[in-house]
Amino acid sequence: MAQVQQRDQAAFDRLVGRHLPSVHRYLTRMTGSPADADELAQETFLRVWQRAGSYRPGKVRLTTWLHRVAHNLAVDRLRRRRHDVDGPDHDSHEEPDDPGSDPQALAERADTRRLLHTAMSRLPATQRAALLLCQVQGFSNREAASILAVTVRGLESLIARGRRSLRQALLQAEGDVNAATNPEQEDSDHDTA
Amino acid sequence: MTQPEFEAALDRWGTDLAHWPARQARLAEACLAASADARRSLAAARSIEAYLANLQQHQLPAGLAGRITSGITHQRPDTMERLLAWLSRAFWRPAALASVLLVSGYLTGLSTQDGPDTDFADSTAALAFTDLYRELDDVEQ
Repeated sequence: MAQVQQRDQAAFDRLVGRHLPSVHRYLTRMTGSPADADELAQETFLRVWQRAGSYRPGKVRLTTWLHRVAHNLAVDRLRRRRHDVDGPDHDSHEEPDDPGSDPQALAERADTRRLLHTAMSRLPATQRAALLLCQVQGFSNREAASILAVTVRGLESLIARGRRSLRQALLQAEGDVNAATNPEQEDSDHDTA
Repeated sequence: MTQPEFEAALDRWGTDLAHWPARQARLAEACLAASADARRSLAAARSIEAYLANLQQHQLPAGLAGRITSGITHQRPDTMERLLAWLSRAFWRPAALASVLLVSGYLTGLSTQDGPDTDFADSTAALAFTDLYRELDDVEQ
């Protein structure tokens, strides 16, 4: 980074190569739009180039600083959109299914994934960011709190609320499916419980 | 441990009971053995963790890194940015800039310094003699 601060183009190329995958993944998951993620990733690195002098090496890790820039840009973009993205446009990336699995299990897993996808896109942006930073991007709670400009306790609360919302969405959907497919069984389950 | 307590702990510490405080983990195990709802909550939480872990897989669009770096090459830093970069490269540069500003300020001050304000002196004299002129006008009339 010191070389980037000295306007070393080759050092900047290396920095982009090293950090772009992670920053782009975060932006894609946050905005739900690969096109927005491309644009915001470019903007993130442009700002890094223009404001490299404001980075203080001993204070935070470079990746934390980069994610803070990216997060602020993502939040601005979401705010401008005025509503969270939803549905099939939200992150077209799907992981490949295991070809050896049972078809019914595969279908159930795909349904669960779609459902969680929708639930995730409906979370408030800060809860989504907290879950992504800690459970996908691999930041410690302290680093994630620094990126989101909240306390560690505040971050833990965001994570817990995000998990709860996702779990409730999942259980609600399972309950709906059970009720639709086997209403008598559902009734007897409640009776025995 | 009640169902809400179990779920709150699940949200806080995750699905691996080995990472829970020992006492809470023992209570959770008892809760899981007794409650189908608790088992359903744990299964849902595991699905969520698997989903989040899966989000780590990500395909970077081809050519994006190249577009970013070539875009930066054509981006000229603004004047202030260039000045700051120039100043930060060597210790003597900020000192030299300060000296230049000091000398130019001194020279500017010298060049704009006027002598006595003659217009002001004339107008003051005119005021002083106003009454005398009026009296002379009266005499002439």
